[in-house]
Amino acid sequence: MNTRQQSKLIYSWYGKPMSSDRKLRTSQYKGILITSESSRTETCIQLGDFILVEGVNADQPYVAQLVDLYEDGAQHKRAVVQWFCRLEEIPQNKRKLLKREVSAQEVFFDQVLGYDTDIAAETIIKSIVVLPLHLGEELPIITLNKEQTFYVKQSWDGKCFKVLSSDTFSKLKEANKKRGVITNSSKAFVPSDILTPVKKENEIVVRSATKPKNIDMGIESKHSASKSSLAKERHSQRVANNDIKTPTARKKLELNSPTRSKGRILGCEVLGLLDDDCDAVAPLEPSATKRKVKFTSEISGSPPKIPCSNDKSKSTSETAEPCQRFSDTLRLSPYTKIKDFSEKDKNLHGKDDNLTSAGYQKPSSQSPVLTPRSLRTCAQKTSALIAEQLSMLDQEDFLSDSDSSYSSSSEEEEEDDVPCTPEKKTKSSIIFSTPKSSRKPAVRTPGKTLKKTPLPGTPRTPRNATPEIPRRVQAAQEPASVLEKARLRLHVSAIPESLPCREEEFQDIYNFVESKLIDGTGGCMYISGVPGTGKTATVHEVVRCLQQAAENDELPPFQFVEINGMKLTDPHQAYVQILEFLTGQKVTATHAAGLLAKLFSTPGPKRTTTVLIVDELDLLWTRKQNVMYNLFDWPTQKDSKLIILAIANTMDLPERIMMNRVASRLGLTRMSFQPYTYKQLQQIISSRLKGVKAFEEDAVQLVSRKVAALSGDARRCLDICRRATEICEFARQKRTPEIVRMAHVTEAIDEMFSSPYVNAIRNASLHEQIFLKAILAEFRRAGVEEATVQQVYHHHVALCRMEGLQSPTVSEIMAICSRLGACRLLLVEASNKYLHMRVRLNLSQDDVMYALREE
Amino acid sequence: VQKILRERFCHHCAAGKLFGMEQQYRYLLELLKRTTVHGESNSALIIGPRGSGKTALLNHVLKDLKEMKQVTENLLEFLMKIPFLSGLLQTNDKVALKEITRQLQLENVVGDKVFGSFAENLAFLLEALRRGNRTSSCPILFVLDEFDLFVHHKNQTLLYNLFDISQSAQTPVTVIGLTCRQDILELLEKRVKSRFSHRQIYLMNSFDFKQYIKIFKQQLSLPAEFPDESFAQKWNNNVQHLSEDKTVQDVLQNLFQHTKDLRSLHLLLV
Repeated sequence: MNTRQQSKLIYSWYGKPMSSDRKLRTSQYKGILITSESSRTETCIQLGDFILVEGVNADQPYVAQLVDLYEDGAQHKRAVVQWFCRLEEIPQNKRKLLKREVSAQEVFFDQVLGYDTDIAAETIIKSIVVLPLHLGEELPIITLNKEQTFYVKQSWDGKCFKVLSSDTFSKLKEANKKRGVITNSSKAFVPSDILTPVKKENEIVVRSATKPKNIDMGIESKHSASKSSLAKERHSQRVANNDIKTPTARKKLELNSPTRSKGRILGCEVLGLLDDDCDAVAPLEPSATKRKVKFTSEISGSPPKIPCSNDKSKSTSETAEPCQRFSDTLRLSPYTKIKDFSEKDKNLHGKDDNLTSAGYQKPSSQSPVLTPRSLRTCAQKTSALIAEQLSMLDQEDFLSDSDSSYSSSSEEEEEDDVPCTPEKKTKSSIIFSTPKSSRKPAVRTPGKTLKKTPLPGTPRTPRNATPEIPRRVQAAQEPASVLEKARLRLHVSAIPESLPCREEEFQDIYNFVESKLIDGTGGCMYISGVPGTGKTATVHEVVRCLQQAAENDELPPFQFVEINGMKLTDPHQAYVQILEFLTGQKVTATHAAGLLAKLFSTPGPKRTTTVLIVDELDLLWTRKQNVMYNLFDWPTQKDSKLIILAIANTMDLPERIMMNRVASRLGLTRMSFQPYTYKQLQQIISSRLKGVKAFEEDAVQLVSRKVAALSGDARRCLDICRRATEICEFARQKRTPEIVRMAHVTEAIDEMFSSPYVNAIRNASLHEQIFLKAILAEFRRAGVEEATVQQVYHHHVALCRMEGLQSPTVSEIMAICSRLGACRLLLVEASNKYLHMRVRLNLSQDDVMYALREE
Repeated sequence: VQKILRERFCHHCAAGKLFGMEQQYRYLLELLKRTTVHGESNSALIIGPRGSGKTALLNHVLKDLKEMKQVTENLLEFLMKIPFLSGLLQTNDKVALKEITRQLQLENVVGDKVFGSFAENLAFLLEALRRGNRTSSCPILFVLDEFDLFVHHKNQTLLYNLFDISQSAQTPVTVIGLTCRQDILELLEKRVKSRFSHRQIYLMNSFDFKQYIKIFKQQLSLPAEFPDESFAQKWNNNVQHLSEDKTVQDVLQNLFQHTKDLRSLHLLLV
């Protein structure tokens, strides 16, 4: 992260204000100058330019056209933009309206009204090119600036896609033309072109590397160079995922550097720079794959030629003769690659077959997806971190549009990087004698990375395993009889069409969320109630209704995230899950917390409201309560647009376990779900059984009264009814149609609520019963509800004598005692005290008496 | 002869017959049949003192269920998956979860091992189970042996999730717990308890001494398909005499008064 802070950007106006409004104290400008502090480069963006704007998701910046620039009364630089939206920003269900494949580089002219077009100028990242195309037109073969060029064919107004009107089309065209002129002029105006400094610095690096004398300085310059080149690419860096990854990779380098020789630092820096260099050149190149291949060929060139080959590649790319160079690389690469693989064969036995085949395949096919996975894994082993670093650095320039393209591109680069590493290794023996060559440091890097490789032997969990239970062969049988149908409907999982008896609560929650949605603000609501009172069901129903309303455009769209405290292994995992729901990123808990805090505290121009359901809130409790604190703090932030519905069992949870600062943030919007009354339970059952005549009216009433008296848990109620249908079905031996009667329900209730103890005692063996009797006698004698086995044993022997039975031995008594203890009829101490072990009854004395008297 | 008897006494789970639990047997069979045929989710506990035949009952039901599917209707290829967990082996949720994933052979299983953190695994399993629905996914039967030990896991996360799945419209799941503790329901957390369907099957060993003698005879006598028929007949007659013998009856009476556990009978016979 530190590199990013160092490359802070300064936004300043370009030129004099065009017009100013005294009354509103605003002044308009025709361009904005973005200056990077560390590299001292400036870029100028003018009205009409197409720009990238920082978005919610770090790797997906928004595309927009600059319409107006002004400074408002409070000295804030503001910009008015015309949005373009990417395919990913269009709701999934609307995408199929398009009826065609859309490339990642295509955007849509955005005519959705809801979005704020007035943004802070600081969120502008850089300028890009957006080309208008006619609908039928193919995407032109992209020759330059692939990552920075977008195409627009159609417009999107939130409901349907339309062909661009000729008016907008010509406007966009014009803007492009104008832009060309402007950029030319701005080049004249700003002397330091984007590309040049990198090259200069790079050259310095290369030179300094050749001269051992200057090594220290070289490192210095390299540090700054890498930083500034990073800074240069900051526009892309800020945009792409690497925003996260690169700094850490850098950090790793820096962390490791003190222990390692300077040469090594040099090595990776040089590699990095070579790579950066490639990137700087890359925009002029046709495609990423080609670029990488060329990079390989560069390295595989003979050592003394390196600097000039760099130059050469630069010059070739500048003259833009991709065909020639590509053929050149083709000629070079197969040879080197095969050499690499043969080299690798020595290291990794038995893999030669697919490796060499892959080697042949690669230059010809250019589709890395085809290469076998084994290649990749072994590639990871050998080239390990260096490959990753390289690919990450490479990625900076890669405005990956979607996650998929990101991953595939990284894969492709990793694979392409593979050949370089062993290549360098082979070289190392040869070049070692020539210390002056700039290659030498680079040569040593593989060794270092190999050391760093974290346990190459451990197989990773397949990343893209799809969680799925195998399908069943035969379809599940549909219910045949009335009773079966009733049972299916009575299952708790069956989703009722409506939630009876919770209309009021439903309306309250709905109104709360709806009002917040319309206002675009955040808020919390705390919902409590004993288990089985329909809290979660009601909230889900609310969200379903809201989603429906949002789909019908009655409400602004929103995102819905749900976490459940019970389904988390650790409270901090909540962050991870929320972030994964929102952006699809998978990171560690602490990192996720940081990202989320950033997400909710910074104003996002196009961000929609998020509805977050936190179920089983009490389990998110930690000693410092930071998870809860953060959760409830976010909605209070100005721009968070976060609505939290927290669900828990206890009504006084905020007062009981939360610290004051957490409880106060939770607010006072509370709702408690009362346990169902018997009438409500009755209504629930009958609404579920609508149309199925399976229950007697009285039976339903009996169940609901019984449950309402005990807990008011609707789940219990449904379970009893389900069990009653089973009993009924079971009892009905003949094929007479039967409905559930009182008797069945009573049996079910008895089965579920009866205490098992009495039955257990009655079925215990004779000596166990005598032992219990002895305990009772001992309790009565001592007047204390606790006794040692020894005392009980005396009574036991006496009782046996009375009954005329053989008295058991001490060890038999111990066995009896432990058996009763295992059933928890008795509570016993740890058995190491033997006869002095204390015992206690786990049920009341009366129960034992009652159970024993019947005999 | 020795071989047959030894097998019968030492591997009691494989022993063929059940005594005095026909009703429970039918109940459990019905329950599992509904899970397999209708894809209905359920949860149940089998409670009974040690040696009362809980595991034997379950094994029996499963065996019969398999036969029934294959022989009679062939309606549904028996695809039920049975992760079998024991509270003594799976000492915490993390281990249990890995074991479940391994036994289910989900896609994140590499060879025979499961990698990834606890959180990842839990999320993965829940996601996997959420994907399914009543009609298309194959039902899963979770058997939790020594259920009382699972209760002591932190937050009862595993139990909550299993019961929650069995109560919601996801992959059909039947959770069966085996325990000897009578007070098991009081150990469940209130949320977990609410999600449990409160089906309890009690096994009690509720036979008297006459039945006990009968069991004794049954255990000793040779089956009809014994190769040497005359020998078998002779043996069985001897067993009959033995059971009527006064001293033998006294010994058995004594044991019966101490414990009704059939395992101790087996031990005595060995």
